[in-house]
Amino acid sequence: MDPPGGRARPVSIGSLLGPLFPELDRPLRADDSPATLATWDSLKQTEIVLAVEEAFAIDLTTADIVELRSVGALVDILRRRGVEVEI
Amino acid sequence: MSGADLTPDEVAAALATEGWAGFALLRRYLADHPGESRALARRLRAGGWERRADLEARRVRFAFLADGSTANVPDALGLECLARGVFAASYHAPAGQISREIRDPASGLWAHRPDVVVVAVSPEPPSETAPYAPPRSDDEFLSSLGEDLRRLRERCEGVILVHSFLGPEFRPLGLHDGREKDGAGERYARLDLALAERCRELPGTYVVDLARAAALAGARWWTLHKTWFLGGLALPEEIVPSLCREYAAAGAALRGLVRKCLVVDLDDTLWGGVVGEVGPAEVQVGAGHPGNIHRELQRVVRRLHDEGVTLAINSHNNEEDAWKPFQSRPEMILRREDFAAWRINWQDKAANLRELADELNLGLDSMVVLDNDPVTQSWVEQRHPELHVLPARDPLDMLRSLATSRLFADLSRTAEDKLRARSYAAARHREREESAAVDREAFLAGLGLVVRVGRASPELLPRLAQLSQRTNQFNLTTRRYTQAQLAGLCADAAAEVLYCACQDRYADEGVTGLAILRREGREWVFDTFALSCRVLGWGVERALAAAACRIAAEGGAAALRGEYIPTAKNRQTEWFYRDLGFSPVAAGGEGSVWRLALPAPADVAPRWIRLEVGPAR
Repeated sequence: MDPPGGRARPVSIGSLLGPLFPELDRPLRADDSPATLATWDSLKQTEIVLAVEEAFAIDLTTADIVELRSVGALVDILRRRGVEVEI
Repeated sequence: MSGADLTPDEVAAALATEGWAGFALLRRYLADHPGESRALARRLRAGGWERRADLEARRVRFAFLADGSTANVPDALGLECLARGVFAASYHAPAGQISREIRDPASGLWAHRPDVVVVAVSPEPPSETAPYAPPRSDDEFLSSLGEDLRRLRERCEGVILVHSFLGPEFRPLGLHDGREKDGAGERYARLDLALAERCRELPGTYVVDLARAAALAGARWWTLHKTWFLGGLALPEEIVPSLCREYAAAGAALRGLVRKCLVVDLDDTLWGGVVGEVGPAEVQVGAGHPGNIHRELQRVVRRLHDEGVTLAINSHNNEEDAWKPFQSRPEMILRREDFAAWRINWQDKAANLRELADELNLGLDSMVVLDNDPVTQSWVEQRHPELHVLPARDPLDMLRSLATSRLFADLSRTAEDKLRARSYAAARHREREESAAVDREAFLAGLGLVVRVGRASPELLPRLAQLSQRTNQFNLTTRRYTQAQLAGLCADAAAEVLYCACQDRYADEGVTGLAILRREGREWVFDTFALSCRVLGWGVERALAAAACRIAAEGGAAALRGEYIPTAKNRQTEWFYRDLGFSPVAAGGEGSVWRLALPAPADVAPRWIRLEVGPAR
């Protein structure tokens, strides 16, 4: 629910994707990517796409998915699609 | 607790406790939170039920052999299994390694000791990871798959489920596809048929109808789905739950969790409207909407009955009113004679269900409830979490739910299943005679019981596997064997697999008993002694024991040992060996062991049974 007189708090990407990286003992950062997270493989990429599509009821395009190579990139993609998110 | 207030944490906590409560809560959660199954699965991944006392007995080990990744299966499979009272443990072979996994005795497949093996391959897997590269003709593909399946069957003691094939979306021939022999439609129909024929020749090997699962799930892009290209996932996301339902049904059946009885409500279920209010002429059943839905529902229930599912009624009505539509409405498909028992009264429906279970000599965990009232649904489920309550309220949902629930699906389908429905009707006739006969022995003698016992032959194995997997009450050791394992025992010189069949004046009950003897030197041991509850109380168990004594003595045994392993359900067998004249050898919390020197001093077969001991039936 919107706080009175204010905008909705943006959805946290960290809490959406956090459960996909249970081995991580810190919050996700914008520069997290397959290079910083060893378990971010093609299957994890698939899980990320499915989780995002389900959470925001959108369909990511092939170009979106190609661009999705870091947490920060995902935030940019979603903002471009009109979904306000924070990390 | 109402389902809407439930949280995944509460479901997880309930699953950590022995018994059915957690499974029933999970089903309630899924019914009341459509679309949240993924969140629940994520929560359940954390486990927490490892200490459940009945965990091992409820664990089913699945293995997946596919030409792509099956990494999106475990969550959905876990939920479908839990909804049926079993826990899934899965092994996923590396993509495209089917032949190697089967042939390598040290592979992960064999280390996992699977109860259920799922084989999912396609003659044309999309793009790079072709399992049977280089490209082959359909005949080569089929013979390679057939050889893999044959080898798998040879070594695997579990059930094998093989996916049928789905053709590609791309049909370059357009309308001509159907006119050409090598059109995709006809080609894939031929492939499916050839696969079905191969599987039919292998025991315990079943085809999973992929086209049906895809259609039910609305999976439109079979070979062109995003997750294949992205993560190499063999199965599109939408189709996974409906396939997992098939896998889970097979796994639960292996653990003896097959529903045998459907208990139906009458008003707004078998017909539309309330007969006590509108009268039998006005209840909706037959031509025109919505009576046609209720009639279709009756047709489906009737089909289940034809396949051996016992039917019962649990209805709030005056009994006299309730039977009127059966008598006066020709559109009714179900007849009064189709029901083995009924409670038509104003009592608590949960109490009625308990009574029906007792009357039918069935566990509540073999019953499914179809009742349109949501309050009743959640009440009886809370009182008796062993029940499977279908969440449908609308008659059309009831139809869909019966079409897809796979609750009655057994692994072996035998002539005995069909006999069972008639057998319950025969039971009512016997009861009438029993109350007329003053002396029970005179009554039993009047039944003209004939019991045949012999060594199992291959055609009896499906039924014997079913007895091993489903018999809970009169089962001394509750060891479960698949058809393949029984075949192995038959071939084993140190074991005897015996069947028992019986018939009386009223019905041929078919094969109703299984005894497995193992030779341990000069002493033989009852590995298994199980009898269908349909024939309890007539002394058939004594006849089977007598025949086993005779066979063991003829085989050179000096003594016969029997073991009783207690479960929640087999208490009635606790003193079976004592009553046969066996002496106690050991007893404790884990059961007891008994021994009888052979030849048996007195024949334990009852006088009123004609016992025929011979080779295979």
